[in-house]
Amino acid sequence: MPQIFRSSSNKLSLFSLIALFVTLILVAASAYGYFKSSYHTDVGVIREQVIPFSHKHHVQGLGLDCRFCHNAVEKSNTAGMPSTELCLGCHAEIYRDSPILRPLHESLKKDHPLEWTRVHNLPDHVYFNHSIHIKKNVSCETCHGDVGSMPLVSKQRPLTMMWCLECHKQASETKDLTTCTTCHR
Amino acid sequence: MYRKDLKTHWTSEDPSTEVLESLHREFPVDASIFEGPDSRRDFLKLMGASFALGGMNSCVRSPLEKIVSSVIAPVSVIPGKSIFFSRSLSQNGFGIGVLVESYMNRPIKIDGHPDHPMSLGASSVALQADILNFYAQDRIKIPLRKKFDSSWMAFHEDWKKYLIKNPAGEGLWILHEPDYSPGFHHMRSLFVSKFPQAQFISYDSIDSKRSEASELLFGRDLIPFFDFSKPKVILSFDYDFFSDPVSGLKYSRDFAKLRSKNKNRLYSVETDYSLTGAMADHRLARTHQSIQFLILQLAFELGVTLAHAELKIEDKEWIKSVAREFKKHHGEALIVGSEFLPPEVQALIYQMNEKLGAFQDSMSFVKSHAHPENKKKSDLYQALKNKKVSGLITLGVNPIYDSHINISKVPFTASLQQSENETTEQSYWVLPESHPLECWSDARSINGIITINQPLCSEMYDSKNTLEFLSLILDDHQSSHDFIKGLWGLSQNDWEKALRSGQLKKETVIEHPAFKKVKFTPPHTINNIELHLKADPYLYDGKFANNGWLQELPRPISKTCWGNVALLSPDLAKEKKLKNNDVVKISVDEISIEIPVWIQPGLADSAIIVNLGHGRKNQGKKYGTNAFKLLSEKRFFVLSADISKTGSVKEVACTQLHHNFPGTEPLRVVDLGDLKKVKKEDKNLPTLFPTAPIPQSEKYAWAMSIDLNLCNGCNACVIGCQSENNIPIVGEEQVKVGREMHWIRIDRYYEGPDYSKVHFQPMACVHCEKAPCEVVCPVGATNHNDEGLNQMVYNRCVGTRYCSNNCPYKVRRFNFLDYNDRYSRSLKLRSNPEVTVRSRGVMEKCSYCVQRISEAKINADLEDRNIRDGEIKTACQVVCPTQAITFGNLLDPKSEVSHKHAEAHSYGVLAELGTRPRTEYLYRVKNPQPDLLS
Repeated sequence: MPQIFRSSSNKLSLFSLIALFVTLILVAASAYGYFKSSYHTDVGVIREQVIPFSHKHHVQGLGLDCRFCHNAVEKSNTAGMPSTELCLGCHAEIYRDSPILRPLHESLKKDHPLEWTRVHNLPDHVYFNHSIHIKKNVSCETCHGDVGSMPLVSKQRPLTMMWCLECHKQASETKDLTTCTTCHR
Repeated sequence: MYRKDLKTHWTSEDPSTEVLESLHREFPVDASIFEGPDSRRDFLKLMGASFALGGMNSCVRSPLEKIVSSVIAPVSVIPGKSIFFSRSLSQNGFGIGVLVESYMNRPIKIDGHPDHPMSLGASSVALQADILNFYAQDRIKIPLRKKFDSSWMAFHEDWKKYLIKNPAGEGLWILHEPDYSPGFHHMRSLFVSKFPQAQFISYDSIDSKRSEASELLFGRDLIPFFDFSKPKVILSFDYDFFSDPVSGLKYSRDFAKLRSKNKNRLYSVETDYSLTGAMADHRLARTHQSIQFLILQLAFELGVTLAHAELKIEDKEWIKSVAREFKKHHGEALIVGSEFLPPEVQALIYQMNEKLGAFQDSMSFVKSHAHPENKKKSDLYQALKNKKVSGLITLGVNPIYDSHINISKVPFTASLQQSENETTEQSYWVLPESHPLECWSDARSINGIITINQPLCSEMYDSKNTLEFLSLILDDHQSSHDFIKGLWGLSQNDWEKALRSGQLKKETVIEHPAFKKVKFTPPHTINNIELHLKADPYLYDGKFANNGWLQELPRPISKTCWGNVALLSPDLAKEKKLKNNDVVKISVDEISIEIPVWIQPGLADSAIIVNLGHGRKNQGKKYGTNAFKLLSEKRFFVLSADISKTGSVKEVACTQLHHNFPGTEPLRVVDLGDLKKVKKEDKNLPTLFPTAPIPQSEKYAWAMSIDLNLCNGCNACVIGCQSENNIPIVGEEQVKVGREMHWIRIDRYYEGPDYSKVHFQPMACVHCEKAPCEVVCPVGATNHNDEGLNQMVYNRCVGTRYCSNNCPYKVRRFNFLDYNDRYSRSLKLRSNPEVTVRSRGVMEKCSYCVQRISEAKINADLEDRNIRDGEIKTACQVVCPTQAITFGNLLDPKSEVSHKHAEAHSYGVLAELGTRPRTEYLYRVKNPQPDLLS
């Protein structure tokens, strides 16, 4: 009875072993690449907003402080978004007839709030508090990047748990900031 | 733990072998079995599909979220921070001060108001659970005419047509909930001046004989009001003052003042097993009739009457020794009695108190504020019979359910209700009623404090409250805000001050009136079975039957939930050959109900106790039996009821033996005399459990102390925790298999040959320093933090349930199914935003309210200071009416919890296992009278 497999089959099996190994590495590498990519982390992705608001113009151009609009940042867990009324404080006069600002005037007229698309979105089981980070001298730029130079804002840091822990591991010598309940409850 | 275990304290009478077996299991039999309609093959198919689809699910990117800013930012609101509203909520017509938490304009939690004397920061189960009624899914949203969508305008047109025939309100009856607020009183008089023929009934389905007793003695309606912080000897005749809906919180706090120093003694004579009976140092279980004889005998012993009663020798001796003690404590003694006792008997109790010098100090009277021209229910029945009723308006009350009247012949019927009930079913007009949290009103507390109640948000639906409704039909169309503001006419400054403090002014309502002497001739004894119909401790007369938290809350002593039962004593059950879960037929005058039996040790021998408020048609449907059927004209005690076995069986949901620890003695009780002899235990026993792998903080070590001597088993902490921590309800079927989710449970233990004592032990995660659960978790989902918290990380949990298996305290809860309703819009709004809402397959347990610890830490850091003692209060601690729970930092030697842990009689439950629990308990102390220690 002839042999079922020829001697060249040995090469084939060796090749398939190597191929399997290479495939695994490729899969792992592409997964790593995927999770690091901006497609997954949203870093650098600009979202369409109801008004194409330029932070660059307001911060670098006019010299407004972040806290002028995000005024809860030192007091609360959230930084807070400016109300229509606050925007209109200036824009009732300045650029009043600009078509870009039409949604703003509509908002007041119809008593319907502006709906912005969230750029920095943490999962629901993460309880982040802005006020304590500001108090501990973590600047806005640390997490948000140099928003003041961005015409349209995008996420600059991945905001993954690993990324948070980079700071939290060395933040304090007296306190353990890496226990689970620091951020999750 | 069961009686034949030769323990001093036990939770159950000799259980069956099935139960015994279950005690050694982590969960009851079949708890982890999927009991759906699908076969094993279907199950495997579904599992396969779930795996495949679950894999796909991970490819879905999380959707973009919107940030919605405000148009005009409210001045006082900081986004992300809660604000608290001082106001009051009405209980049986009287206001109790509450502090309602509002997060971004949605009310999320109700707590007691620390400055209001009727609450002092504590809150009852009913007050806490009211927040769930606010978000109930089945609230009526728009006016309905004959069940079809309509409008307020159409209703108003109809009403005008009605007025053409009856311009002075001839034959118009208005049934409203008891409401003693000045605002309602004023609205009522406006109404009567326009429609003088209209009749009002302050409708309470559980109306006691208190007002008759008061009329008899004083000639007017007065309510007795007690101060339990003064008397050193207290005797209660079937009156559960801890559970009093109006004053229970104050009474509990007052009682705890002397009890915490072990300086008072409580006697109780009662039929049912109540919280007061459980707290009592001496308790007698007697029938309603026998209690009257005991009262007469005591009156004789104290020299108030000359007549005395024929009693058994032991009862005579009991009364004699109690009387002796009362005479010793002249001026420091108090006798209280049930409002359901015959008026003459209540009068006798007042006379005894006068003799004992209890008046002035511990007993006074307050005005009832009931309107003198209110009609009685019997008047309405008569008018209905004579067809004299032209219109019937029901405001928040449900007479069709509890009085079985027939209103089909009434030409004009309208019903203002929060959600549909038996009465709306028969009403022509069904109108949406506002929840108290969404409209203006005012309130008067029983001790005379006037509160102006501001809403927390605008109405969710097109609804009106009683004031707005009456204003509409008066053709005034006033909003409740304008009406209340106009009524009080305050300056803007005073108005804002009143709103902020929650107290406008205090009226003097306390009186010490003189009274007539009344003669009491005891009734002839009938040696029959007595049937007691009682308001349910949580559902009351059924008005809270739609509230899942209250339905699932185990009743304090019987531990049954989801439906009512007929409670019988073991002797009566033996005589009638009844077992638990047997359905019996209870009949009174040819009317009968069928209801399952539950054997309750410690009841009076020939009494059956059935709670009212169950068996509603559309709310809390299918749970329990409507016992109002047996109730005719104020007969809450039926002296000759028949009981017979039907042969069928209905399994009752009962948590009695769930999460039990067999073979151990977790509860410690000591007589006052032996308290000093209790030796301090070594709290650092050798242990095999590993130390937490991370270094411990030098600043904070959180710990809790629970004083068993003060816990009265009221269950407020259970609901407080449920409300704070987004704990779901699981339903009757799931409770039966032991899957209830309460993070804190109250274990109830019996003691004594005749079950004469009950002790309560609140049990939640004790945060072991050497936690057995942590070592078995394969994924590190439960671990220790540097401050000694045993933390639970939901996102890591894969649901092995090893931790629960290894937990000696059985305090971990597993989400077997997706219990949390995360999808209904209104319920979503209720959740506490600071706590994760857990989904299926995740273990959870008490976290020491870690969200409150985090908040306090951030606040302290923002102000560059340490957390102060008492700054963090856990949810269970805040609500506790007796302040039995203390929470704080063990590393601060001056903290209250450090002091309590240092007491010799502070012990850790199951500390002998080497778990080093951070929650410790203070011994339950009994203060028995030496003469009665037989």
